[in-house]
Amino acid sequence: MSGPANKLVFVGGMGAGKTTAVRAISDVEPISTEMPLSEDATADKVETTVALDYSSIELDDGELLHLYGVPGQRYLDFMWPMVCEGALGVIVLVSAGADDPVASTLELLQEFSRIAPDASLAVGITRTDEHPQFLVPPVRDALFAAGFRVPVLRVDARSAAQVTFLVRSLLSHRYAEA
Amino acid sequence: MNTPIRQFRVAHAGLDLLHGTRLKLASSLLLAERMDIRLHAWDGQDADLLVLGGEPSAAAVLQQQAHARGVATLSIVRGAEPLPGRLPHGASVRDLNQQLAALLASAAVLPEAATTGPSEAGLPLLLRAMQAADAGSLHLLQRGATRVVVDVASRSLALPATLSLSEIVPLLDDQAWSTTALDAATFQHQYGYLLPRRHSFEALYFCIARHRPQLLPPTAPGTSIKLLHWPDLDHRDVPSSWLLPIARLHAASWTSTALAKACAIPHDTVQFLFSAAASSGLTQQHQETAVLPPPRPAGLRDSRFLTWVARRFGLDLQAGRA
Repeated sequence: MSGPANKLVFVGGMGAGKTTAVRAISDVEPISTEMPLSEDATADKVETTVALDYSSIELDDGELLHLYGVPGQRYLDFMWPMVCEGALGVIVLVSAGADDPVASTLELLQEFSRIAPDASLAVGITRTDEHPQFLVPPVRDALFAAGFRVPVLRVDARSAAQVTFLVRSLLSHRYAEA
Repeated sequence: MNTPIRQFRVAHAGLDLLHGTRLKLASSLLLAERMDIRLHAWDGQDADLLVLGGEPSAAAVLQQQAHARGVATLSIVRGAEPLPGRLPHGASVRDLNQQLAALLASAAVLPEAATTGPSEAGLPLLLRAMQAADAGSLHLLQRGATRVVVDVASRSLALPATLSLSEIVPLLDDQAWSTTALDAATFQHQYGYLLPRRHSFEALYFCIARHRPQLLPPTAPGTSIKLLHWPDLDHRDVPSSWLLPIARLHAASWTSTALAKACAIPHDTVQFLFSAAASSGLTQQHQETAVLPPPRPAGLRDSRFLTWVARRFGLDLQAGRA
């Protein structure tokens, strides 16, 4: 691809806040593929994204930054390379209540750093309001030990200010590291 | 009833003859305060206080060593404003005496396991508790109805759900704080439900850098640092203009002067970031006094598109051009 990297991708497991984060910073109502959760699923919501979320942000000159929310489940991994082509950043969202936040984050970082080697990476820890004892540094240090030296921040996906702060961190990281 | 004489070990490093002699005099005068001071050259081991002078970058390294061991420091720095823990070059015997008395009185508070009185002066009690060497213990700090537990082992603070770090910071140097040592079982039983929210030490240090930077020990001029990790930042306590200098420190080693110039932000702001980073233990320090900026951008970094995206999110990357 010869054009500028013009995509920002949010990826994470079910309930991590991808749809909510995309919605929080979008200019327009996102296109979503949400479907009712099956009875067997365990999450405190009634719908989940079965394919992806898409939205866009218009920049000063009329160009678009494309926003994607992509499920992290393996059975949907066929769409990851398509979505990540031309991505400037991939933000991995993980719930503080996940069974093993480090392992699930690490798996996605490894996959997406391979699929999108030119994209910058960052991690957002969501739902810390429900898990107030959660600390970010141990997760960050574990990711570092596995070879990922990236911004790791807690974020409330419902808050435009917090999602924006995470995106700013990723952009600053990308600019300084390039 | 006479107050018992308390004994303290004060180490020194890098002092010239003038300041070394003044330190001896100032220390001997503390006997009037019933403080018996034993002076010795700093050997990297235990002391109640380390008095530092000499070449700034070497002093900064020793200061880091001391803080890592939970030892308070008094730095004598050319051109410095007198602050708790810092005196200008040429400090008088009286200046040294007063700082020693305050810092040692504060140092005496933490090692006692039982409930103790309020901090008298010097480094705020909560920051001293965070630097305590006994990593296994918890410290309950109270000021009126405000309670905070310092957990050195996990490098975190336990706060009430409704209390933010930015509400704690203005109270840090209040004299009314007291401290009590806790064991883990007592914390869980009596305080766990009252103080459910954890914040990392890092987050507090960067919050202090924003709201009360004078409470952080300064880094020596000319020191260059690099961030080992991206800090644990809270969007409420870190303005977006700090993100680019933080990112640059994460990418490479910088002196404060070079970084301030590269990011087009005030030198004082960079100094506050350096202090927070050093206090957090997130830094690699280097001796060199001049650090070249990172390689000029190629491709991605100079992309106009990235600049537009950044501007859309409220960041001015152009200001960061060296």
